[in-house]
Amino acid sequence: MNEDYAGHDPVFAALAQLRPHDVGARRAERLRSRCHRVLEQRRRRSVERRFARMSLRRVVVPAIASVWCAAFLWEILLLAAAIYGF
Amino acid sequence: MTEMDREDERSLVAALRAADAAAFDDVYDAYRGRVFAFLLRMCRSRPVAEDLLNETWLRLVRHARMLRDDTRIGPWLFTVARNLYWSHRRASLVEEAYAPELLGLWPSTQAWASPFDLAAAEELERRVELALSMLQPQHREALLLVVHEGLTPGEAAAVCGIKPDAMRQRLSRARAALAERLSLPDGRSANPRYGT
Repeated sequence: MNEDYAGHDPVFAALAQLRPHDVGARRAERLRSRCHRVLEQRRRRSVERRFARMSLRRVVVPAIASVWCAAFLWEILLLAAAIYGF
Repeated sequence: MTEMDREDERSLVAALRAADAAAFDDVYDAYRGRVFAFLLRMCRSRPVAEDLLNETWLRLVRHARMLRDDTRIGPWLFTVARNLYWSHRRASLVEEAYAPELLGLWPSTQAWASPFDLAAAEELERRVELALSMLQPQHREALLLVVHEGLTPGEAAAVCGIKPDAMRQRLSRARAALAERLSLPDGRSANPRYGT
């Protein structure tokens, strides 16, 4: 109820006094459970996404570094072979 | 919990973004009845109001991670509920026919001093509910949001997508229309402007 309005005006006061309404207890609990399920799904998806990002970091970054090192080593070997005339 | 202070609200919003079920329960318990009452008085059909209420809360949990830090939960919920109501109204053109249905929905648990008081209060309330149900939806939502739900005219204007000055003007017209309807014994106005 908005006291600024209801406190000074009989029409607003009558309106502000209207009784509250609510859905039935069973329906309210069903809706609560449904929302909890959605929240749980969201939480699980967010954990999975975080895990996937971590896995990506754990696998892809070392793989790229390994390939880069192998290429560098190969170039050094080729250079050495060229210097010594193989 | 009917009113939340800003700090509580900020922490609830942060918890909702993190999909916290306890924070959801706090918001749900605080606003479920208010949003339902608003929808019921707008729709004037209990099944429709219940469906729209479900959708309102599901939207909150589905979109919670997109809430801004400074989101006001009450106005956000009323905005969603109002938009759902208008979408439903546009889609189905359900209107005006269900006013008497609302009269049977009042809970009867409130204690009154005497049978006379009870009868008098119920009579006044019946007239107010009936007069309210016969107002234009724009007037009805302005009165419900500001006078009944306690939103400021600025918040109610944001909910309705209009400027605060326009909301004040709408509120004034709505008050006049309601007063006109209440001045007649059965709440019905001879002026068709405020009818269907």
